[in-house]
Amino acid sequence: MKRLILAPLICLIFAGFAFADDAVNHGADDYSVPAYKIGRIAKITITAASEKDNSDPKENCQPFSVTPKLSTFFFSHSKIVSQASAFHDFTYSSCYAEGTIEFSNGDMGEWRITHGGTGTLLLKAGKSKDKFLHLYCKRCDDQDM
Amino acid sequence: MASSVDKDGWFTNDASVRKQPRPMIEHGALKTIRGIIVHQTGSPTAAGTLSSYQNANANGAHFLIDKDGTTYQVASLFKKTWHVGKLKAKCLETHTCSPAVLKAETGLKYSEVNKLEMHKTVPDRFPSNEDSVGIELVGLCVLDPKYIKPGMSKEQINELTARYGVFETVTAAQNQALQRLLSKIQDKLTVPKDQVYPHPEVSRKNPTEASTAQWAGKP
Repeated sequence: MKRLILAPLICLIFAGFAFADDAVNHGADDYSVPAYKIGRIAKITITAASEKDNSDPKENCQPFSVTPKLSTFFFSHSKIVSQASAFHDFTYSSCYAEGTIEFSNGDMGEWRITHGGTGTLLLKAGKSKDKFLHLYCKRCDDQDM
Repeated sequence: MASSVDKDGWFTNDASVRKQPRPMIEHGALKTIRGIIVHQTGSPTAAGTLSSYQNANANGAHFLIDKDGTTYQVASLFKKTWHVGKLKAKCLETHTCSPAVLKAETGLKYSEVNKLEMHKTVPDRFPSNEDSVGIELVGLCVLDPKYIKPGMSKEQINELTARYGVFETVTAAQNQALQRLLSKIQDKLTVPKDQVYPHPEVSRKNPTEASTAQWAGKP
């Protein structure tokens, strides 16, 4: 009897893992927003204040330069968005800044902020290690940060 | 009976366009149509995108074309949808600015450029949310396998996709359906044939979005 109950349960658990894999590799859940709360910032550092990739040779990145104050503003006012939304809804820019962040809950990560209010955060340590997030800061976008 | 646009802005008597109203993506009256913008969704399925259009204040376009060419009309042609974003300066992009305008618009912030552009009318600026129809093609943004190294985690791959992702190639069925739909909209609503643009041409978007979409007269 116990086996009869456990077997479907185990199948469901493995089916859950299979779906999770499938979702990441093939974008099946690309409209879902990862569960994570951006906490209080303990420390933020900038490793590159204004860089440019080669996606848009005509874009002028000179007005874009991220300071510790601006990066703190970004993380204080941004929300987590889905992957599909990140790829589709917001300004895309070849101008970016990079740095690291430590939260007071112990989570630590590497971030990238782009001109136009979008960013990413890859958590490298802490309870949410390896979580990857797409972020959007509307106020930064409105202010052309 | 021939295909037509009804009084509410929906294609009728048209077996090739499926009506799937998503009122959440409609945002006020679209009084005039001066152009058409072609997009890609960033998602692999029509079902996911149709579902996302039920969220409050969703972004979306008037039409959605699935990979097999199935075409959905999701918003009335008489309603605006939010599908364009801040406009680029057309004369800067097409190298047609007068010296005075060139001086005034070079180096401006994206919002300032958009504001200046919105004082102009098509064809002196690109079509915007105020005067264009949007067509979405189902297509994911993917990472070229050359970036993937053994042992990389999914999260590392996702991070690289955010940096270097390119939109999937538009399918032949999508391109056929797109051409069919463009002809219909241009004919029924007298939209100029030279005012069809891939999204990244008019607004700051991933340059590969809709880059493989094809239509007659594409620049």
